[in-house]
Amino acid sequence: MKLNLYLAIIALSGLTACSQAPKTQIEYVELFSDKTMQQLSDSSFFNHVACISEYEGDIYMSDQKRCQIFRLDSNLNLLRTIGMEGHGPQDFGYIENFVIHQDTIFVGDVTKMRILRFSTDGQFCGAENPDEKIPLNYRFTMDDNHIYYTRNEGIPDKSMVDYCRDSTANKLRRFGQATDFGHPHKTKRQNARHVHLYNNTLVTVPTSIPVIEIYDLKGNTLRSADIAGIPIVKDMYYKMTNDRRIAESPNMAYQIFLDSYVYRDRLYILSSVYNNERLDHSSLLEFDLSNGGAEWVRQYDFPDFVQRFCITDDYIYGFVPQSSSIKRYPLPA
Amino acid sequence: MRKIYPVLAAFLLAACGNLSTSTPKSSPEAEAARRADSAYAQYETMIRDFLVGKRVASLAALVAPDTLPHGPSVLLIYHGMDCGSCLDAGFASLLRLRGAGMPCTVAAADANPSVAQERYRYRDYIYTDRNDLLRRELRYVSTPILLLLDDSLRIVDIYKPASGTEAAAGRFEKASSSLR
Repeated sequence: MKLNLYLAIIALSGLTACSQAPKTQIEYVELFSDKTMQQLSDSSFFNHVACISEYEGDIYMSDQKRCQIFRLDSNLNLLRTIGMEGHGPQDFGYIENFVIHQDTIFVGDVTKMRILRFSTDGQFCGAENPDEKIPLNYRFTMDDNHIYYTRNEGIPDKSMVDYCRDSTANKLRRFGQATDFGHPHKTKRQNARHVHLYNNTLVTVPTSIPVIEIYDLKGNTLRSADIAGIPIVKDMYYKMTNDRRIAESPNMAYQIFLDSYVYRDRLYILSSVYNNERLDHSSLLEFDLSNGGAEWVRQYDFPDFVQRFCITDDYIYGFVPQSSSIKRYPLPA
Repeated sequence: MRKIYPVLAAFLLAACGNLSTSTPKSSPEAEAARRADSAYAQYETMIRDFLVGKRVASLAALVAPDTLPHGPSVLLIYHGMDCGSCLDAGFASLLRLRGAGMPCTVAAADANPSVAQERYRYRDYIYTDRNDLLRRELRYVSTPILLLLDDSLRIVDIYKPASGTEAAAGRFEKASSSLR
């Protein structure tokens, strides 16, 4: 009788164990840099890199203070300098982010509030002049006819805009979730999002809210994944929301995520890591987008504080502001 | 029982040896500070090696001939998008040098000079480098930067201001006063 009872308990526990979904094992990867570039190969310096992207094997990066875009090969040799600061129609006022689509670089000019088009060889191809100001301080994305970017007017609704390039009327369509942070200025700043296009969906990463949102191209929310449980996100969110200086000042806003990037079927989110109240280094979180959601699969830890990055099959390229350098980190095989 | 004493003595000696040779473990904050300092020092050394000895010829195109310094002087170049704490450190050093009688010139690229004049109580003229001549000549070196120039506008020393660089500022100010 007792033996039967034991056997029944063992069988039951075995069944319970088998019925549980297998948990994904998170992989932690320590990165090291194999190449550092502090000066371009024409011996000039770059100052503050605002955006890095990969396109067909080459690396493109924008420099805020030089107001130029540099095209580099995978070994960080300078291939071309694109655009310059100035007051002419093809000059930049102040640039931050850009997106490359079908061999054309679309550069967001923040002060002139328009989007300039250049070929990847550096030829000026025209400009997009929408009816209203477009602040492109965050990553934006596009398909053939639409440009999707973040813009919140301090109202707790509609954090994003779809700018239709070939429409004469109704050029701008607003959509997207937004959170009320209690003050219009905070609501405006903390609802900013990096926007990415992936398989006919828009993947957005709010810079101050620990979620990943997925929309269809019409602007309907498909999924909203809460990532506040990830330890480094939890720590940063706790640190930022408990900062009394930020909470008490209407002019101060916080940011949890520094940058994000979509490469193949993975979303990467960059976050800074504090150690005893001191900025220590950056970590990169990798999410699998292939199942329609965003599943956390890997964490890369940089040895440096990396502020902007892009990823290729073999390397991660990161901008380290402390030494004003671009570092290349090999990915493990 | 007596056999145990040599063993105990050997153990104690080994323990003492370990204690004396072990290096004290640095705290995470100290380690982070050391890394930040070394990154700054490395970057400053690189741009010093690049700049020292070069002549800032475009200053003559920016500044009126009668106001061009005829002896050793300090030139501060900054950009409107420079970080606030770096500008704070740069202007603080510049004001100390000016107070000590060192001729100083400030050139701003893509910035509103009145903002800096008001914030730092700098009541002298700030030249606006509209065509970005200085930064182009210096190969777009990171700003803000203080350059110690000799009478032929050749760079003798540099200081790259940032928060927590008081030692580098002190060294630069010492070099400036010794040149006078």
